[in-house]
Amino acid sequence: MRIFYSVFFLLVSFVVFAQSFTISGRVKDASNGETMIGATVFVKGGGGAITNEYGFYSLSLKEGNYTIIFRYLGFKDVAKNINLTNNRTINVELQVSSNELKQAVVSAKALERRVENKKISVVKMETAKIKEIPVIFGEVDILKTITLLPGIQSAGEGNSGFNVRGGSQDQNLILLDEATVYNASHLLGFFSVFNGDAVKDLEVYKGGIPAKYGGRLSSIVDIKMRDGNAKRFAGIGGIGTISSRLTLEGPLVKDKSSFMVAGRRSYADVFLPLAPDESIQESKLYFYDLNLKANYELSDKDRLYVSGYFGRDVLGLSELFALNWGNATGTLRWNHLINDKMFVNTSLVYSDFNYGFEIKIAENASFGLDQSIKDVYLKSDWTNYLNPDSKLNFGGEVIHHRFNPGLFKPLNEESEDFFTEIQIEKRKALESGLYIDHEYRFNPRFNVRYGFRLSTFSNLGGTEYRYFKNPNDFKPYADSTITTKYADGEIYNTYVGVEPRASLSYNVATTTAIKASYNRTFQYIQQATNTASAFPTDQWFSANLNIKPQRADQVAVGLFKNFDIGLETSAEIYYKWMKNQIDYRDNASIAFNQNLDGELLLGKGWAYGAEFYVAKTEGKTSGFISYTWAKTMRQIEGISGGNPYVANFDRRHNMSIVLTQKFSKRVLATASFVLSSGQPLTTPVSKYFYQDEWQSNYGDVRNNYRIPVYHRADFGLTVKSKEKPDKNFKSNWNFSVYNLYNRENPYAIYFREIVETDLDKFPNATIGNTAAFQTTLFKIIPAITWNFEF
Amino acid sequence: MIKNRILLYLSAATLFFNACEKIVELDIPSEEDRLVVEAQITNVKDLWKVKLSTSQKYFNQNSYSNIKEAAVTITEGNGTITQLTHQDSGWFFSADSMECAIGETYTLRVIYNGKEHIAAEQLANGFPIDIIETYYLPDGNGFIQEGYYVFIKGLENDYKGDSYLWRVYKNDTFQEGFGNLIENDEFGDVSYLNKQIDPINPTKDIDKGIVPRPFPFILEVGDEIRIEQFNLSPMYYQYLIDLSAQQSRSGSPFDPPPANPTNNISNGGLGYFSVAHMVKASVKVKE
Repeated sequence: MRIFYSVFFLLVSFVVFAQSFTISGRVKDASNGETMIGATVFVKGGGGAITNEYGFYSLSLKEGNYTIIFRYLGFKDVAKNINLTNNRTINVELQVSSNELKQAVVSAKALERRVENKKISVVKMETAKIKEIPVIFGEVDILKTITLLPGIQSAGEGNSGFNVRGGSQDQNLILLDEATVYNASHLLGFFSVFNGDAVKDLEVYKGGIPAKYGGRLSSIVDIKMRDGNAKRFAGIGGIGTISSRLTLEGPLVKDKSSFMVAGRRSYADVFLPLAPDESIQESKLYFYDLNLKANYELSDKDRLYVSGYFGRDVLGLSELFALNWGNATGTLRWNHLINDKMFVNTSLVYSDFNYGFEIKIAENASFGLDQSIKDVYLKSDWTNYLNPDSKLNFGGEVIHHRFNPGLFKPLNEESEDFFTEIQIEKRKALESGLYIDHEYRFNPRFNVRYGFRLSTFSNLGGTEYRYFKNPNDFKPYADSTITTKYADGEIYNTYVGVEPRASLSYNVATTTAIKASYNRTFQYIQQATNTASAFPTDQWFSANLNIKPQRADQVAVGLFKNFDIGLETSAEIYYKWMKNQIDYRDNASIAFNQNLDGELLLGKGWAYGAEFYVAKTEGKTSGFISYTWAKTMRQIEGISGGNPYVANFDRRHNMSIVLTQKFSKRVLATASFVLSSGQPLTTPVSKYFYQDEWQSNYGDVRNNYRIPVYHRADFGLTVKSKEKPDKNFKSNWNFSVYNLYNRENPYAIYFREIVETDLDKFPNATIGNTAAFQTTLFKIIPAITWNFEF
Repeated sequence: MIKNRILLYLSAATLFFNACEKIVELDIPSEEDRLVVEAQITNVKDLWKVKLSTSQKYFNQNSYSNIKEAAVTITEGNGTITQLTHQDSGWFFSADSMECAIGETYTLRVIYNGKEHIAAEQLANGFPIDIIETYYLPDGNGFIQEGYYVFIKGLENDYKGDSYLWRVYKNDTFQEGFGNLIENDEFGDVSYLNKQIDPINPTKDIDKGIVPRPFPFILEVGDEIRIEQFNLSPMYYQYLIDLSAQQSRSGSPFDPPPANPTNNISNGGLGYFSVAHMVKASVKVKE
């Protein structure tokens, strides 16, 4: 550790004293004024910079003449000749390159750049690319799309969740304009909450997580909303068989300020009355969401952004049962340039996830339950562009969490006779992080990024806290607990984590690079879930005196090689050690349990794997193949006899193939195929007759079996309308088929005795026999969407 | 009960789109047969009975296999050993009627196939059923329909850990259909024991929605009702709860992780050897 600090300060002090002038500014898309994230600004003859998430760059160079080239994939280069004698601001707008189709082979120069810019274990996707891949119901879904990439595995059908390198779903931090999105699923996971039209850019960190990010063990999914067209009023929309959407955007003050409003509403419930089942006819099932964003340029040095998301799902089964859930986030950001080299962003963020349900047993007997998690946080991120080879990032954040584990209440006065209001004790906590990291290029071939994060987590008093004397008890009986009430705001427990992070990159040859990374991460709030799939009712809870924070250490090494026939390839291997992983004890009581702590056991986990990726990004035929071999294990005292067992979401093989064929300027077809090992399952190993019924003997091994292999093919066809050069209006028809060959993939498998009511469905079954039942969620689903923009 | 209903609805919600459910054949792992014990002995004088069988392959659809040959004994706290011999269909009986004493530990020993299995439980104390009454509920209240019902009132031990199971007989026929009627005092009063109810006039607060908690079987005037109340060990109570939760798996996110309920039979045996305190009371349904 001491060597680490010495090197750190040596490098920083070395660069601080170099003399230079600075060129800085923003890079924007000329067509709509959107700032461009990750555009390269490079100096002919060596050195360069990449624009940050606000399109800002800063390059400090010694006095002299330079040619600076601004570049972004799919856009024409802009070159500027500069005689640098003082600090300069250069804002650049890039034009879309029109001859994209003809460009079958990319220049060698571009390939070199791409190898260099690719970070280890980081996936970056522009929405334009994502929009070409067919997804369920014809909706563009960024979360579903990233699960096609190596190391990111879908948690299963009917689920927007995903697992990254042996991490559970709650170990992914999903950020939308810096605000945490706690539940990314719409319609119980049929869609993700992100409207493709409102999203500008997406970055997924599977490893090599920069010190700026913290709070989750496995991955960071950083999603940025579009700023809105700063040039003219415009719109994008789509009308589909399941849902429709509309985005409106435009300048508030031309070239200075813009807004965007994007909304979606599904109407699957419109079709429910057609269902044969009466209870389904009376049901409700829909979601809506709204993205809002506006920005204003206060001065050359200051820019304000306000963005928000609001989404809601409503599910009702006849009159008797209603479930609704949703996220709301709000972000207020202030970009400020202290000087040409120092960029600061300060954000005030609000995030709220809540769900509730209502159950009506009779007119005078109805009740509801509400649960929520609410966060407010303040963060500030500073970047000092010391020189073209050296960049220093530092900052911090403080998050105030409020958990409401459940308010049980009668819904009307008559019901008060039967139900009394019960509030399960609320919880409060304070999480904070301070970080510093340094990006340094030793020479054009070798660069490093290293830093660390100091995180703390404190439980705050104010409500009764139930503490188990002995969490290893056979069952958490009420009399094995001590109830303590801490004063409001009193910190009664604090955890501290030191999280070193590092990554390095070495270019062996112009189109070949070797990269490696190490990171340690801590996670203080988590979700307990029983199945591989997530349900909105899975409770979020924090580390406390019983539940220690999770910790992970990951190393990854990757080889990146591009071939001049237009192929990009990569191979990465990783190993991850995890501490304080949670899993439910045998026979845990899961739903609405106020002593949930007592149902969880902690132990260690480890995961390792290899990921391979081949992509062809240019030309008429493009696409990629990704394959992941992975193993994810857990070992927890009290589960599976204390022996190692495969984690619920372990899938040994994962493969996806995506192919896009441009037939003409107007017709584009995409096909995809996914294949993965079945998920682990605990099956009975025998049965026994007890209390006049067959009981399952589950043996002593958890996850002793795998359900059958999952595979599926999808197909999509987009036909664009003829473009009229003088008109902005464009439209296309999208036809898609999900699960083309109608594979009945298992969603759940369970074992039980066949009973009389089963005979309706299975007339040949024998009552009293034992059987395995499989449910399938999606068979073949065709969809049509008409998309437009103006 | 309420929780079960919530779970039922939520499971329905999860499976809302389940267009397709089918029975599949899977090549699942299997293990060697294990000993299965089903036995309960009580403070009431009766023959001690133990039922023994073996587990079998999950998809094996033949009737279950009884054990005829095994050495079965029950040892009392004072060291007295009682031998049980095979009578019929896997049932092993003691030669004489026996009764268990409160606070005493009883140990079952089964030697089968060269393997010894031991299980022990202590007999808990129990109070008698003070009152058994029936009443008429004029309107259904969402939980139970209109009709005649039976309820009991009784005391229980001051300490926590009392765990009850009731068996209801109507005209000497055991009433099935609601699984095991079980409740413990972990979170407060045992509701079936109707601590707050005035025994003289049980339905006087019916206007406020307060009625005795009845056993959930609709009765008719003239029915002879008998209630058997068992005070179980907390471990057996939990065993029954977990067994029932495992039994009603439906692939929903609220299913417990698949596992065997914790039992008291050593050496990998399945089933349970229960020692319980039993009291009973009877009533005839009047108009």
